[in-house]
Amino acid sequence: MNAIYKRELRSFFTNVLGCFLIALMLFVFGLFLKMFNINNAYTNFEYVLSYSTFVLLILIPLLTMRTFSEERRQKTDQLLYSAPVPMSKVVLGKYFALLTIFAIPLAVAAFYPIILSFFGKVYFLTTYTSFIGYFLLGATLTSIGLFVSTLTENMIISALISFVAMFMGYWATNLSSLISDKPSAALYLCSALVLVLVLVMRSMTGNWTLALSVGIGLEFVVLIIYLIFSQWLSGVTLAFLDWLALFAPFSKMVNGVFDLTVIVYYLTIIALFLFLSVQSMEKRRWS
Amino acid sequence: MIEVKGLVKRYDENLAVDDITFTVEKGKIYGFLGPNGAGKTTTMNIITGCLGATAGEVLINGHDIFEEPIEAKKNIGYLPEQPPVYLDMTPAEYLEFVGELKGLNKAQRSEQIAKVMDETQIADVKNRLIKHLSKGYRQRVGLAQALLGEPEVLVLDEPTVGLDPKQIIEIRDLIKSLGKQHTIILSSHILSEVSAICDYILIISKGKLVAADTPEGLSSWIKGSSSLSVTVKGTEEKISEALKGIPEILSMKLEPAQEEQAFLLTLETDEHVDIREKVSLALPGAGCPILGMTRTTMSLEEIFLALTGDEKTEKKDGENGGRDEEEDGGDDSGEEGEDEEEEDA
Repeated sequence: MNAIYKRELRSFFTNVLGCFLIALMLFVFGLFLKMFNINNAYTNFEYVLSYSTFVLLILIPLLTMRTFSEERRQKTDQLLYSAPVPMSKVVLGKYFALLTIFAIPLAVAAFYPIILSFFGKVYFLTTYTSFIGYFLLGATLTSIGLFVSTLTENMIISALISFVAMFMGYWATNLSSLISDKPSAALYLCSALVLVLVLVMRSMTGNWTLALSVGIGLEFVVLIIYLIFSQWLSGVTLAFLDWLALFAPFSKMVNGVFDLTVIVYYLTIIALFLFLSVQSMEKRRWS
Repeated sequence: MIEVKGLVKRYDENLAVDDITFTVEKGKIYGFLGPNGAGKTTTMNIITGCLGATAGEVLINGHDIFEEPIEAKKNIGYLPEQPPVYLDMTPAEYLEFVGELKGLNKAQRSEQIAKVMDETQIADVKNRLIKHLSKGYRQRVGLAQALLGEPEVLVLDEPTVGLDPKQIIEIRDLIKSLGKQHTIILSSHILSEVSAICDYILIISKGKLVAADTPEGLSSWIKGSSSLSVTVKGTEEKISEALKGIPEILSMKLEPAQEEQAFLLTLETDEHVDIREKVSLALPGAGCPILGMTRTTMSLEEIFLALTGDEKTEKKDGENGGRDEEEDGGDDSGEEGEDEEEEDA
């Protein structure tokens, strides 16, 4: 795992990408620091973190796009498959390397509140809680991007899919105010989810008949619920969007609430996507 | 050492590997031979744990590659067809990485890296980026990587493909010298290579193991005949008259040769029957001077084509002389080379 971690970390600094991403992040922090803290004379650095989350939509896909895609394209994944190392350690090694890159600009920015404290009162607890939240949010997005990179050998496609997935998470909060919570909306949503499930099953098992029959079965159940127990479906759409809204829990922390459920929520998603990454790599061995 | 039992790999409808069983003994060089797309790479990927099998069992030193992959993989060094090197690293960094990946400690690493660099002769390029190295050197770096961890078995997939003739000879010599300390399994679609390096040949065709023997022993796998080509001057009547006295001749064919008034005569006999002396006395005796004479027995090429054959080669089985088939062989490998590229993509 150590070997993978070191190699992955080094590869970010042998090409421009690693330095570029760190510089980009520091630039955004610096820009917002000027806009909020200096121009408006606020000492709250957490606002900078809160407003700069959209940068993660660009930064994380760029960070994760090549992780496994590049190995596959260069056929170096053969080395990983034939090495006496379990795939879980390979995935973890790479994941920690990505986190390290992400943590570098955050570590630099962690000094800013201290500097700001010379000029006014800084609520350190809130600020550093926000830092933890920001790191967890980034770590969650990184695990999603890592998983996406196991799916394709083309890093552009990998970056695009990651971006779309993360954008959904970013936008879901705003979306919930636009979408009605009627049972019919839930029906459309569930049907769309069934369709996605069918496609995923088809690509995992390579069996159309199985995927389609499961899909039709589930759709039938959804229809019955809609026709007979439609009251069950109200609230489903909003609950789903809430669950999808990856960025929302972070804003809780910015407001100074240290909520353990937020941490559990992020850690669960990280664990899920790391698990899926291992499975996705193992699946390629077996197909 | 390595036991492969009833190995099957199925991709949707296609059987890439169809019930292959063999055993590899310590200290020998084994050659997988087969046309492109025969299932060599698939088999090697399964043996090294890169690929799962649909059915069957692979035991490496008693460890099942699917049940105890970590233990089993420690005994194997694998060089895939495309060396798995990171282009943005130098050989020194790369070997350091692979050594650590294989779980060697710092002292073992520095000792073994120096040793494998010496064996594969890459010490002089160790600080150049791998992307600036030639294919031959990349192949050596890949080989050096496989040697780290002192595995007992080396699995080399088409180790000489894409190299220039000089590099091919160097890599072959290297493999031969490595064969003294390691058990080696290599694959190739070039027969001369396998027969030059290997102690034992496994011929694979369409996913099936069709023959397994020493290079010398392989000829017993098919019955053949030997033939004699003679370039002779004279007329058709004189020649056939002169040969009537030799009862061993099964069939004869007479074609005009390039030289004037000369004929190319092809005589078929049973295997291991030598009629050169009789012919060389009979023809000049009838006033037909001999310009040249060659005896063709079943070559490894012909054995290979007969065993892996499609219609083109099956019809031959002892009817024609050797030269046509050799040309066919050349065409085959060209066509099938393209097939494999499609498959890989």
